[in-house]
Amino acid sequence: MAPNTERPTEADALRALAELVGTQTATGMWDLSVRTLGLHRPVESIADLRRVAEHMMVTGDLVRVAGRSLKVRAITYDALSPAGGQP
Amino acid sequence: MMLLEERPRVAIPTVDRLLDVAHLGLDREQPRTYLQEIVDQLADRVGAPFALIDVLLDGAQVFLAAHGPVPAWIAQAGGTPIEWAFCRPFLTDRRPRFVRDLATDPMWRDNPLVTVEGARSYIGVPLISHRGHVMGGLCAVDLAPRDFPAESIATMERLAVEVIDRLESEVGTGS
Repeated sequence: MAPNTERPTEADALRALAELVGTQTATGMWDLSVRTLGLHRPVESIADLRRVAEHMMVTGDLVRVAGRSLKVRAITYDALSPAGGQP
Repeated sequence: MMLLEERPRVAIPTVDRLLDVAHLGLDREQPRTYLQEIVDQLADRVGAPFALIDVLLDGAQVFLAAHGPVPAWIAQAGGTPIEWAFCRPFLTDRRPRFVRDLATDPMWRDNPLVTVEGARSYIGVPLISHRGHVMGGLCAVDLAPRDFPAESIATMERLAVEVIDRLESEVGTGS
């Protein structure tokens, strides 16, 4: 099969993201990232697509860390609460 | 009872540090058996019932390896809120720390790990990544007020380097 040499587009990126997280979440994340970077949709240049990609990667890492923190806090404080039953 | 929204802003949410944590995957819930011998060795060297490798996230500490019976409710969470973390001061001061009696120390005497689980003495050193960020701590905890052997800090600093080497090596191997 011949390699795909076409430039990536915003539509490609959104389609790929939507397959993973759903259309609504994908669109929301994309809009927020674009806005945070001071860009406008559609994002057309390769350089700007790369900026959006890197922003989403960093945000994803931090969201994962924050999610783990919240999970620990929720479990431990629930266990300590009178209704929690533990310890 | 401290509610979630009342928690003190004790952690400095340094983005670069947390990105280093994420890069190493230290926030992920996964077994790290390659660290077990280090905490076992530490517990033996300092004669303590508990030895831990903890990572400091933004709002919690998570345990990567533990020697000793971690209470079920803490094991279920895989960590504790960061304001309970005896290693939390490493975020602002990287010097090794020792607390002879947590129950009489104003900073720790109301900590649930002290009041509920009976932790009484602590010794710890920071875990510093090769990028220069504090990832967490390597520590030992005992259930009685005590001193620790004079050579403990040197031993722990050597083990802390080994911990970081192993963690960063795991990233390199893609495990």
